[in-house]
Amino acid sequence: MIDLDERIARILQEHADGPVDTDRLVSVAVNGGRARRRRRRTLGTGLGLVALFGLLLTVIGAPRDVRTPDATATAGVLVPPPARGAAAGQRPELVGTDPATLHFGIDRSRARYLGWEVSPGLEGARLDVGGGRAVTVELARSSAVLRQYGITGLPGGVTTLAAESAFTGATLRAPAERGSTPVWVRHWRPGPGLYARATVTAETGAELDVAARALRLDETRHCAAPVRLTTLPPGARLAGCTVDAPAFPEALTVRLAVAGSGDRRMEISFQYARSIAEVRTQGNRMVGDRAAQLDRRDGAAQLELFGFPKAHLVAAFGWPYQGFTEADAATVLGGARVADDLTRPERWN
Amino acid sequence: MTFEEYVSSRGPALMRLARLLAGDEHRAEDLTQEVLTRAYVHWRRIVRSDRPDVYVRRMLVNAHNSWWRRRSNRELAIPTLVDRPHSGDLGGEAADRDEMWRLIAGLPDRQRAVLVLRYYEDLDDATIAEILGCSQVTVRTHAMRALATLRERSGLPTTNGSRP
Repeated sequence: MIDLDERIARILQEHADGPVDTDRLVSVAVNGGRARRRRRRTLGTGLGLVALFGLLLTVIGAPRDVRTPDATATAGVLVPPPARGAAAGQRPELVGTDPATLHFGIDRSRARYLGWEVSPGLEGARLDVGGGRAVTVELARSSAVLRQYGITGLPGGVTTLAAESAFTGATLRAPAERGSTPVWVRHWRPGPGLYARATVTAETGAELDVAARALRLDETRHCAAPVRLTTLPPGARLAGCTVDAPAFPEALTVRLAVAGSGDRRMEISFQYARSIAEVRTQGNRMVGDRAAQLDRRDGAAQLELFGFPKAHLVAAFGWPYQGFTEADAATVLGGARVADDLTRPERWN
Repeated sequence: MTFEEYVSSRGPALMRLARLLAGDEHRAEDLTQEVLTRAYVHWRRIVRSDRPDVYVRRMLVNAHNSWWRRRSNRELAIPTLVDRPHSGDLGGEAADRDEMWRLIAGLPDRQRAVLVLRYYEDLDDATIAEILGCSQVTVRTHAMRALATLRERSGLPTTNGSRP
């Protein structure tokens, strides 16, 4: 009789085996890595603009001008709340300048939000247009910005397709490994001064047409997140906001980028999932009256603040981030405010 | 060692590890590419560490765990995997292997990761602890729980020759 050790080893061997295209691993990683480096450089230059727009006031909790929530908004429906102010159709130069604001919206009769993002120079949304595959739509003020931003989960080469001449509205099939699900890309100019890109990994590119038609340039929405940072270290500011929730309301992830002078970077992440059963109440630090856990290893460092049911609130300030300290992380986490009801985006922030 | 040299020598092993952690070819490829892309950005720092391969494998395990947390279907998937009756007409040995793979795939992330690193990568507890960012005691606890679960669900006796 084969013992359990041997059975496990044999099963794992069977399921690990398979061809590996090493050349592709190298080329995709190198292209994607270069795109990320460009993105980080863009982040640095974009922060000056962000500061000019008085972002700090927003970060520390200035009152927001919020319209009446959508009549159709209900618990469990993921929609960024409406905001006041000019939209991308009227003021394209505002796109990607305020991490608290999306200068576009989505026709919800055509698409459903799975998430949204604002980074310096770029705004985006992840959509479900009914085909079962997430479509990423990004809006920028130049084709160069879209070339600089990689797309998570897609080969780095996809970004290089965003040449100025590519914004024709045509849907392209991006080069992909034989046998893998194709990647489709559409570049178009939705309005004067605006560049848009939609991508999807699917058998056909039909979903991109739906996503393009769903884009609305006459509305403004908050880059709402169920976590608000009310305190920041001196000289620091919010630099980016990402909400990713394809399984909402079962789960959601928020990432808030905090930046300081030069290359100082820190990321605050909030990950909620109903399936998280772990409850940690004892750590090795205290932040205010809450327990926290500081972990350091090989240059990486993160501080997690406990006390949020089924959720992790973490400030990552060590490698690959840099320039902030444990005290800075404690300052940010100490002032973090988590929404009472995670299922109602219209009440976030 | 350049990044290209590292991927040429260790890329296939990383991909195989990702297959076992993710249980899905496409997800495994995404996971490997994502981690290698990040590794490229920080390669100069990684290659200066004592054990770059341990570091990258740790990135892979963490990225996989983060991915599961983001999607929250980890625990929903487990009963589905475990309780699903056999489909098809697999014969005895094949059916046993299929069943064992389902049981392994249905283990909680950390327990499955320990089994993969121990039985597939053949790493010692100290290295596994380094990759997972936990103590060796925790590694052994995960291993014991995983093995107990596999024995219980596969109907094996509690003393079946597995490493403690």
